[in-house]
Amino acid sequence: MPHWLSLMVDSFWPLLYAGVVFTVPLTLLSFAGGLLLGFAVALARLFGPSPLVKVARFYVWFIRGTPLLVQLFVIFYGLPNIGIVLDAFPAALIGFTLNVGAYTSEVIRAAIASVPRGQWEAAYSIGMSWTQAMRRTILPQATGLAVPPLSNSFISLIKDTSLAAALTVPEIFQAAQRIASVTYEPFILYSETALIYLFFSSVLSSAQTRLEARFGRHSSPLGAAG
Amino acid sequence: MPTSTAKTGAAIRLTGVTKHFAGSATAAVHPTDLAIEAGEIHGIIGFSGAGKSTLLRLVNLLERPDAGLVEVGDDELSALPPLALRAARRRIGMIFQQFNLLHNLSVAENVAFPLRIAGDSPASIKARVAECLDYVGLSAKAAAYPGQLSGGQKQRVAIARALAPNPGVLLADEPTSALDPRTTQSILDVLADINQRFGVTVLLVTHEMSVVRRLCHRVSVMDEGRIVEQIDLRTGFTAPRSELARWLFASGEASPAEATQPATVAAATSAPATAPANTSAAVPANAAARAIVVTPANAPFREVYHA
Repeated sequence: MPHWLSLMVDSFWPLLYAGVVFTVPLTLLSFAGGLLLGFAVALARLFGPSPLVKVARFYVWFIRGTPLLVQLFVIFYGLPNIGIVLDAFPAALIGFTLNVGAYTSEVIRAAIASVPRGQWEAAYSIGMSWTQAMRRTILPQATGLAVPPLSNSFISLIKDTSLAAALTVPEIFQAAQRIASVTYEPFILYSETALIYLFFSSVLSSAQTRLEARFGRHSSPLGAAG
Repeated sequence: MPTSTAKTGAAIRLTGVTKHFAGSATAAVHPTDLAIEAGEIHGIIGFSGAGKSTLLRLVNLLERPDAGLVEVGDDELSALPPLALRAARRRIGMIFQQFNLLHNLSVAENVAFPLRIAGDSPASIKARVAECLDYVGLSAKAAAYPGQLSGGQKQRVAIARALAPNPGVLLADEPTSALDPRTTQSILDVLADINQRFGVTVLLVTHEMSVVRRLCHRVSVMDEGRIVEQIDLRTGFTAPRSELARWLFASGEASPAEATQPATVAAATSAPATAPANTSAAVPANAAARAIVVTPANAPFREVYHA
């Protein structure tokens, strides 16, 4: 076995382990949290009272306008200065959740807003409450519209979790750095790392196709009146 | 078959209702009174932006009036708390220009929805949905989704959905404006039949004079947020007084689409037209019984309505 191949095989399991134990949970948890947060922020911006709208807008503006790596550093390295000490994994989880929340709130807001006004009117005219209209009419349609852009956010997130390496979270990239620092084979190690990210993002994003098929089943391509 | 729930007295009464949208220079609806008799088909006609759709939405409070009273049947809607308002809305059907079927639901589910919201039993919902779809001739499409239907079919489903809870009142917002002339006629026939057979009071917004002529008992002409004139089309042809009404009635004349019912055409030798007495028997039991009278000079058609 050539040296480069045995190196790849030897480092494959540590990298995969780091992915399964840290990258995947970090991705799934922060995406789930980010979706909930994004949904709440979207509702606040669309339907909330004016002060809440302002808070929501400030949050989105701040998160989207600052680098994710800087946000992570503020949370993990900065907050201890003011007495808030977090472990690396929770710090990364909070950072990614806040980041995902800001971006997905815009997607969710746009999706809800693009369900035609007539759907609300129809729902109200047959006696639904706001909650019923939202849950049974508007959200199912908005979901269909939101799945493709949300999938984008999700795939970005899988790769962005590599930034957690800088917070000492032993995820894939951090594992790769550690191995590379003792083997002095960065080209092989980081190439392999790229392939492993490709594997994880392919597996995780294969859900997109199924989700789109499920929620896009009855929507007409141009959102024509119905 | 839907059952009749006709009531007596005014079915809809608006008293001094006004609506001013934030950011708009003028009111969408200036203080307006409107009383619709039970069993009536009442048209609201006017140009785009005249406030007619807003006025219609004030009836079931899709738009909240800034001031004024909204009464439908025995309910003062504008005074009802949310829960009672939602219950009252179930007694007021509504159909729309863009149909507004719920895209994520099948035809049968759309028709079932108001019944499910009302908490009816699954068995009675199933029976009622079948009945209503049968009435509009779309039983075969029960499992289809709105995206698979033509415009006319969508409007029929919307009508079935509106009829399902047995409303006493049907609000129709430009129900045929997105449809071709033949489909328009078929939808107008359904609306006339609903009115005749089930005694449903219909309040209909349109910008097409031909729709008013073919369907309505009375019409309110609306301009810049005000009802400028009301014309009773059943009491013979009364000359419109306002300039707008005159223009609308004049421009609606000689429309070829209206001259397609030879059975009701009677040659008249003199204008102004009055309906020959013998046509009333020949006219089918249509809410807007009418005759088309051919006037002598190059025979433009004019429809005359009579009770």
